Amino acid sequence: MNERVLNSWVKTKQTIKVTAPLVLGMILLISCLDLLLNSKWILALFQKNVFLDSLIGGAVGSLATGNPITSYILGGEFLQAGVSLVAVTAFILTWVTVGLVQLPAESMMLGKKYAITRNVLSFVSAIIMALIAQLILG
Amino acid sequence: MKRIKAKIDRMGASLKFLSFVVLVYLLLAIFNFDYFVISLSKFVDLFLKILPSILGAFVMIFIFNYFLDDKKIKKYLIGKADWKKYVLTVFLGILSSGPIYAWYPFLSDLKEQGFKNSLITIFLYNRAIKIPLIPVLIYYISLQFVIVITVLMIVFSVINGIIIDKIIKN
Repeated sequence: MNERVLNSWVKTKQTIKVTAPLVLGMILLISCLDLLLNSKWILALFQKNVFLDSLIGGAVGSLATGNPITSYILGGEFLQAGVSLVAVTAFILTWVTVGLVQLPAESMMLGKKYAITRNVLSFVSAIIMALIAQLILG
Repeated sequence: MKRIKAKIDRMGASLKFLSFVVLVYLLLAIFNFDYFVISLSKFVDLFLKILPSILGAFVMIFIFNYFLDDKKIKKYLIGKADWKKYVLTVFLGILSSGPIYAWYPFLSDLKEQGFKNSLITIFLYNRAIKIPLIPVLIYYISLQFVIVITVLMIVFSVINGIIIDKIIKN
């Protein structure tokens, strides 16, 4: 087999190995929790005002970590439960751009000041983008 | 008991997570069988709905891995930061794959060779745009949402890169 195809397959297999159990687990958990946590519970956390919702969504997304696909699935479920678009957008954006869990590793490899500045900027940007998305998409 | 503990220790985080959820389902089957059946049928329904998107995502990841490798990225990114490099970095960030922390050693290595903080920031930010996963996001939210968010992320990645270079000198 072509070496490039083989290398690509090895890398992809590694991604599948990590992602597949995670996605499967997430879908299983969502299916189970969906019945337990009714939309009232999720809505109680959000639906204050546009700015506060984006901050809460952003904070939850910053604390979470993992494959972006998980944030898409959760974000979609939140949206269906009635959470505002601004909160879901901030949640997805901070999930994929802010990495509090990875902060120690990022600090070690790229410098503490750099890592903190980048994460703070990413958080602020996510909130601004969520507000802009809300304005555009309504 | 020791053997089970050793097996658990060897498992990756995602497998541990899946095992935990399976355990929750087993407990559910024992203590509330009706709830277990409803959850399982909801799972099958949801799984079948998003399966094509997930399979499509894996095919796209394979294609990207085929066309991109570390050496190519290094060749394109070393040098002075300018608009051309910004644009190239945006594309390379979007096309790169794997977890973010897997890229730290590579970026640290580039930084030592004079790679600008702004480019590192743009690269890391655009890694968040996952083309292979876009069908999933469209399925869960909407195409308009994906377009708006993608454009905003590209613009903000460059803004963040420029701000970072002003705050932190290489």
